[in-house]
Amino acid sequence: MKKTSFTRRNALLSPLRLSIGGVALSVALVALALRLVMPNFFFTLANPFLTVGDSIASGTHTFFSGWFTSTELSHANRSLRQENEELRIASDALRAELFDTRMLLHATSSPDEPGISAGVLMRPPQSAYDTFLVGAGSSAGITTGMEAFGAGGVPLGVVTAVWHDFARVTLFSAPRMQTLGWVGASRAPVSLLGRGGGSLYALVPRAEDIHTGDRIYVPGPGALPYGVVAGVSEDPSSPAVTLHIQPSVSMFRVTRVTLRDVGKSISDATVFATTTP
Amino acid sequence: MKNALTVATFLSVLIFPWPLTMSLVLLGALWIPLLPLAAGIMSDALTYAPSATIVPYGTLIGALLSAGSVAVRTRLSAGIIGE
Repeated sequence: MKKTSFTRRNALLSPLRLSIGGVALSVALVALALRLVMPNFFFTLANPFLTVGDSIASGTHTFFSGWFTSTELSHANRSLRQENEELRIASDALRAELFDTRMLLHATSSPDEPGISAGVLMRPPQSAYDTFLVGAGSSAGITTGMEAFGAGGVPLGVVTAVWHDFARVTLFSAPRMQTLGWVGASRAPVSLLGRGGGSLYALVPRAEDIHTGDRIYVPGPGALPYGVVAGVSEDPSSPAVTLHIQPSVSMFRVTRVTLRDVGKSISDATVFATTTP
Repeated sequence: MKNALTVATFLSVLIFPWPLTMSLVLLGALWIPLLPLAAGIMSDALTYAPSATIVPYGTLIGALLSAGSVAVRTRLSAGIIGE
């Protein structure tokens, strides 16, 4: 009887047939390995794409803004100009008052001190987490623990990872961030808890009598205005009320940040923000 | 079609807001089960921050979608979706 024989197949020499899904997964795994081993090189490669993404995000915003009628825009423009002028006058008055106070206290640190300006390469909603990737790193003098400020000197978050040419800022609104700040004109101490998506909340005793519109402050050089209480939820059975906090600056529109070393005040006030890269 | 969808999804991870990426991933998962996992890993490689969250949501959601895609494909006729 004739014996049936099969040609032996060498798995190593056989032509490799990968599905498109397999190729995609391989590319993603290579990208992940590159990110873990050589993060600076990885972000350098991704930088051109992120810049294009930033332009697209800005263009999209302009496109959708154009949907409003010109009359509405004109009206909004006029009222905003007036509001801007009023705010400028109030800001000048406060600045002068702050200067006088600092002269009296012989303070050395000022919110007006120059910091390191850096462009934001990736922000929510491109980034699903409440973080910024900024285009300046240790080569520009950025160190972990620096505080990031947006337009008008509004504090936004803390630098939690630094590479040679890039750094990551974790925003105060990130889900694991807990920041010790103050609320209201009486500066009642409060623990601000990030909940993601640019919003925060805090629990304060009912006796503090906090209302919607009260200002929230976070540490910087002194207490810096961060946002407002957008709403107060009350549970009759609880001795505490929940404050829903809205930051003054929309993190979706921040294009540049200023990074500044504000000393230990911010690291002491920030809990759960690790320095793991 | 599959190749274009895969390239578009990867570009979307880099360029577009994540809701658009999610839409492309959901569409692509009908034909390419591994695409959600790949996009999730890529997304986390770019944006995951241990200081913001312990859970790498991109990879986790991608893995769940991939598993779901495989489950759906094994139960539905190949004549409806697939090759």
